[in-house]
Amino acid sequence: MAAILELKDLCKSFGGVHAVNHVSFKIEKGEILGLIGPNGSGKSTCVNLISGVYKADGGDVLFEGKSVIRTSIAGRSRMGIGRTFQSPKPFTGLTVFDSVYTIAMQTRSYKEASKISGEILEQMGLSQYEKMRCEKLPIEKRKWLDMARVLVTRPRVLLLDEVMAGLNPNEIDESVALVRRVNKSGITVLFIEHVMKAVIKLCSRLVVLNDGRLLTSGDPDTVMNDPKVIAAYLGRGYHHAEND
Amino acid sequence: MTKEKPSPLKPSRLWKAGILLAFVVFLFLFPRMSSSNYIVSIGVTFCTFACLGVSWNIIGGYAAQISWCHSSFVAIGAYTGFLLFNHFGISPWISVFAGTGISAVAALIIGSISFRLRGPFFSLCTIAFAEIMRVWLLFQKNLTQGANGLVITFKQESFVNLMFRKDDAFYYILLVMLILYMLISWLLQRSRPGYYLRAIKVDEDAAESLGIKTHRIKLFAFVLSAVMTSAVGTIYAFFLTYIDPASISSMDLATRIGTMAVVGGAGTLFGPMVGALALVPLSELANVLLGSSGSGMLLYGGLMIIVIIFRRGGIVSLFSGDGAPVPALLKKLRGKGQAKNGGDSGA
Repeated sequence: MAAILELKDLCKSFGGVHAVNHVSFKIEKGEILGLIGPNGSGKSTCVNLISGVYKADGGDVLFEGKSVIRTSIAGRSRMGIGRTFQSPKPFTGLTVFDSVYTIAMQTRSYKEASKISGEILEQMGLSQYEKMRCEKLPIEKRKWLDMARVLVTRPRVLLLDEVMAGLNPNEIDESVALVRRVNKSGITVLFIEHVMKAVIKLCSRLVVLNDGRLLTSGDPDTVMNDPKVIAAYLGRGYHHAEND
Repeated sequence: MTKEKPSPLKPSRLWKAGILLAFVVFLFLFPRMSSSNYIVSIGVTFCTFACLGVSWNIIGGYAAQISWCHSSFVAIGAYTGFLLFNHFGISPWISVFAGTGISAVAALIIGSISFRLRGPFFSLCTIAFAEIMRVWLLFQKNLTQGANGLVITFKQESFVNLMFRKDDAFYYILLVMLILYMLISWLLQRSRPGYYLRAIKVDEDAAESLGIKTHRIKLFAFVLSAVMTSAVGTIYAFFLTYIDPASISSMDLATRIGTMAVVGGAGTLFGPMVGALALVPLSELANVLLGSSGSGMLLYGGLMIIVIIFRRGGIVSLFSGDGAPVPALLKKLRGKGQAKNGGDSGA
């Protein structure tokens, strides 16, 4: 399979802290790649570097073989790199429908944008909230609204930054099904998450970061049993809890 | 789905249409209701500041990019109109286009530089531009007569040269402009840039990461706002017949323009007009009662503080039920009161 997104020797420092330190990995077209690691390991910084929110100090980001390192944030989105944020960012004051419609109308006629917004909200199970103000949505629905807004941009790669944090087990199951549906529609997913149950269910490969460096990568079984990953991130109790 | 609580003051659509129609009829009949030229001149001031507020609202309200240089665009329109008329006899109806052109270029330059940066840089740039403009007008004595200002001498009644014996004509010209500006604002709200501006106002990072070209949209809004402001500046200057840097290019004027929108309801269609409707007569009343032209500014400052603390959505939010977050301080006080009364905190 061809790589749709590639990080090449990417670096980003904040003062003396090397948040991302010479990180390289590829995302294959059509896969769900899990990006895991302890807090502060550089996962969200990687997402911000890929989406252009942060400017890289060094290295390159290739999207479908072309460098996007000098492309603007909006330009990357228009090329097909979509992202959600760790904390939902609803367009306060706008209704649920209008916040999706605002994004949908960028590349469509008003009529088409209205139609596709309704369809996406239905797919995300948000139709009943259409006329509600975004800020009044419950937290998990806000995360789905974030995803709905990204999906109307017709992304080819979707960067999901901790979309399942704070959700209850039922909501996690629903979200897993949702991410799977999104992936089956042809969208490649980079899945950043601490909820390991969801990571194992969804991801075909894992990349582990620690202290801004790439610790290891591979299939979930191998990575989860890697002593380095257990020591740095999962902890010894993780496997006992799994076995229980 | 939880139903939103309707505001007790929220009027129905039919009521809204009725109130609006009655208000438009009232505005058109206003000069006929009084024989006093002073009362009509208050009407002219209302229309002028409502137009300026609507213009400011496009960048300051919809996009929440606070501009302090709108008085400079008024000055550009005013001085261009006066200079072209005094030196070349050009009608203000033509010089309006020259003024708007210069203002558009100025806005384009300020915006291109400052919108690339986040945070307060745009506001700081507008303050710098306003000061540069004021000082430049003050020291270009050959062109602007400096602090002495410029005068238009009344020759004969002429629509082409905007010279009228009574203020009724200026009132109607500015009223038509106000209706036109409201229409532009209404169309903008319903258009793509209007939606994008509201998204930018809430979260610029999110808007940009979803593909919105925030820099370009903000620039468009700022140029449109500057052009509209400048056009009012030209007409208003011919009503005043005298302009000088202290009155037409001052921070006082810039503050008054922004206050109209903030007090009425920034980022709303009717907010700036409602703000002007409340502030212009109040300011006149304060000047009459307190006998000083500075009392109007005191009033603006006081009202601005009250609105920011108690009603961020402005006056219009009283009727729509939105944009009125209870300030943290009041919430705390309310919380303490509840605790004292053995509220439901469960503590």
